[in-house]
Amino acid sequence: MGLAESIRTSTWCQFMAGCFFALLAGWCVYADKHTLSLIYLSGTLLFLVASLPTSLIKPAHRYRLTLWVFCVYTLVSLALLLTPEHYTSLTFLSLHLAFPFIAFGLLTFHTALFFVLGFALLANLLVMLHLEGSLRLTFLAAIWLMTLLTSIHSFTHHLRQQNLKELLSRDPVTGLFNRKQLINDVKKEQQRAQREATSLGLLKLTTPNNEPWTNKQIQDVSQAFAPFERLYYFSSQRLAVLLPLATDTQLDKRTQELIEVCPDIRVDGSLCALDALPASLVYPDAEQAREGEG
Amino acid sequence: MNQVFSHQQRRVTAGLYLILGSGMGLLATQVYLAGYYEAILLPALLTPILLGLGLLRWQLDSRFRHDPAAITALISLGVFLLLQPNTLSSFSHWHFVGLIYPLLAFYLLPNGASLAVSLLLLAGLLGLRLKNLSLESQLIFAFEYLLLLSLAWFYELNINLKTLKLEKMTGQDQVTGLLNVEHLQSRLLAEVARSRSTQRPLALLLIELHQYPQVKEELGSTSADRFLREASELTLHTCRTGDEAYRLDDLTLLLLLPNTTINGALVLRERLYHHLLQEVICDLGPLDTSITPLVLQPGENWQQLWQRIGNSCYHTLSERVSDQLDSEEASPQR
Repeated sequence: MGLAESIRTSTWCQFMAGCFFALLAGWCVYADKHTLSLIYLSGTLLFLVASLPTSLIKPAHRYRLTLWVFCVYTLVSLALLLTPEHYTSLTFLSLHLAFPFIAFGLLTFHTALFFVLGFALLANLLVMLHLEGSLRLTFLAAIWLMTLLTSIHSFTHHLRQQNLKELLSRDPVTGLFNRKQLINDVKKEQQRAQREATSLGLLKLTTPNNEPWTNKQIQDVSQAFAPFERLYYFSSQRLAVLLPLATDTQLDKRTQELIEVCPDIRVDGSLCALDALPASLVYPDAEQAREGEG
Repeated sequence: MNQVFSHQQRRVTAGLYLILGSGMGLLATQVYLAGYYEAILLPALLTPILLGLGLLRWQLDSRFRHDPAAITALISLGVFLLLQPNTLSSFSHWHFVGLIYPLLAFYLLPNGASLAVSLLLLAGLLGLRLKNLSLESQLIFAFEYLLLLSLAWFYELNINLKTLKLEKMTGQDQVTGLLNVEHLQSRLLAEVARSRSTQRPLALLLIELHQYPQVKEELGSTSADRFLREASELTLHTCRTGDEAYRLDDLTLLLLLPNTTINGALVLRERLYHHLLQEVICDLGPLDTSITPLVLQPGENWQQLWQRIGNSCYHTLSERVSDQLDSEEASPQR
């Protein structure tokens, strides 16, 4: 990744945030403000954990660890807001305004919203005890403005991401086309087969003992097909291949070839009717249940 | 969906301007009641500006990527933070308000512009307002400001990258709803292989809407997107069952026509051209479009076809000619 490209990713600003947290933590330790240094240290740790590479730690584990460190950060922030000395410097107090930015930047929407609203309520109570006059008004207005603004902004993005997830044509993990795309493609290929007077075949590939497909297996299987014979992610145990132009003989031949490449997998092939969607695509759960009973 | 999303965003932004305007109004009233008349000018001046921006954004969307209303609001706030007389006792710690600035900037403007205005304000604050503080206090303020700036930057970038990644994975262009270039490349590979395997022809139509950049420049991206959306909807309705429509680049749509000869492509071209001329309304005058038919040549692979598609676009002709001239000039020198 080049320098210009990396600036467009979150790596640099994550690194910068971590560095500024570390720098301010160092200064607080130097100035004997040990309680204050805790919040900057927890901030440094938070960005350190969040930027751990996936080669070192699985993304799910990294997220769990980030959540724990974020809990520590929240507790330290609230503990600081309890102490009257913290209110002597408004520069340091302003860090709490960025709390929603950190929460929504690092955590999933619902978790972050829970933290942000809880923190804003508690901070409001504590600030009301320690500050007074128009300064209290300014700080509270600022903290609620930031909280509401960031929450609404994140919410609109969250809604958009949810809508986009419904439109996805690929499985996010394997990168293969998903079931929705398979159904769309089957409809298109049926129309095309009718127009061109050809047939359409569908292969269902299942792993032994219903284990999830590995990347290696997917790669081996995909090499056995022509570019116009698309591989689809049907479920974690099942892949599907759409074979335009397939005939009964070709289906048998393809099944034999596949079994030679991956001897462990189970292959079910059939020609599709051209006037209706295959039932296995429309009701996949019913078919799996029937197979389980069998 | 994109429109609903921008509509919600717009209303929230308008709400923010209205809140800021009301805040300024309250401050002006407080200053007036307290008798600090020399400090009344900026809040009183900025109140109608911010309220006006709020009402404007509530009703109308911005045509530009860098919203002029956001730039005006941020400049107004910056001027207020730099020039507001320091007469109010409650604002003895006024620079605390300055620390909210980068957080607001990242909400209102794209990342590059918000970084620029935030850094400008920091320089202004250090040069004009904090010069009486000790070096240590100035440094601490600057580091805290930069920390908040990097946190806001991180948040904005992170949330945008997630959305962008999903947009890419949908395989759809967000403006027209047609399939995008990544999808086209994988489809072209499949269709070329299929055409060679079945010995059936494969044709393409390149539809260039030459007024798109001009509409975008003169009337803004909302009008330009609406123009493109109309054209792409009409293209989709005109093409036949089994044909697929893609957005190739900003102003080019592509129709993939499997099992179609050059004659079939020419017939469709004529039909589409007349429909576009009759039904698509361009605010800048009569529609200026070109539709180029292409057919897969015998022995041609998908990369060669892809290159031919790129070389067949009229709007890139001048770039290609100048590239060729440059390479011709460079080759004798070698």
